[in-house]
Amino acid sequence: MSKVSIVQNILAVNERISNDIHQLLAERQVCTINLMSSAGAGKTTLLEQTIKRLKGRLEIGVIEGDVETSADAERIEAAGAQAVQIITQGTCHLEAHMVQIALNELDLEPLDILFIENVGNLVCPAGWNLGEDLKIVVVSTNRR
Amino acid sequence: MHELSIADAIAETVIEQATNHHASHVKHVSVRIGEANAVISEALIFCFEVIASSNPLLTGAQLKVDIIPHQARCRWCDCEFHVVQYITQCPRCGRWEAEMLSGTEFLIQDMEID
Repeated sequence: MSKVSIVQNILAVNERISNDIHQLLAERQVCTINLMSSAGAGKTTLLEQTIKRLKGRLEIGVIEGDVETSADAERIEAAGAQAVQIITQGTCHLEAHMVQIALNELDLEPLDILFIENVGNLVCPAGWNLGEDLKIVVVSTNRR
Repeated sequence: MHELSIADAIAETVIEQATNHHASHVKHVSVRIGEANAVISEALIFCFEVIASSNPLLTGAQLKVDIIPHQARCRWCDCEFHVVQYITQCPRCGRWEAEMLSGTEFLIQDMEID
């Protein structure tokens, strides 16, 4: 038996894929935004409005993360943007390898901005980089 | 349940490293995880055992998890304190300008192989 030192970031594999994605999207000149919030804060609504208001000015694509359904991707397509749904089947966040697969289904050529809508959760999505340029957090406040 | 993804990431790196070292079997793996990552040791160990049981290289491998306390030091009065639930207010002078000392680690430290 021997002891082997590793001393490597636990998420090193995710980081590697994330760097590949970042490089690919930078080459295609696509600005990528990882959109995060707790469940029900309004990520999809914000995206729908953003797509409608930027229509004709910027070409937007969306990767939609959801635990179970493809309802969000349908809403995004109805708003007028390319959308690919990732169903995580229980996993509470997106990981870089999931995004890498989803990218194969998008036509990157016309895109100016790619939004990655993360799973509604503010715990673990923060830990996994997805190759984005920016992370944006949507916060809902209570109305009085 | 981010512990399952973390356990999966640990297993992936360990398998890669064990293969590089021509190991026949991995017996122990130790990881250092900062408290600020909100990882539950018991859940992580359980997930790792489940993943390990499906890979001959890892069958029966034990995961040792060291949770590193989330510590900070006040920039004003130098008071060192334990950060609970991300609240970084100095307990002595009440200011909110603290420097993180530990608690964000996320490392696979080493492994024992045959």
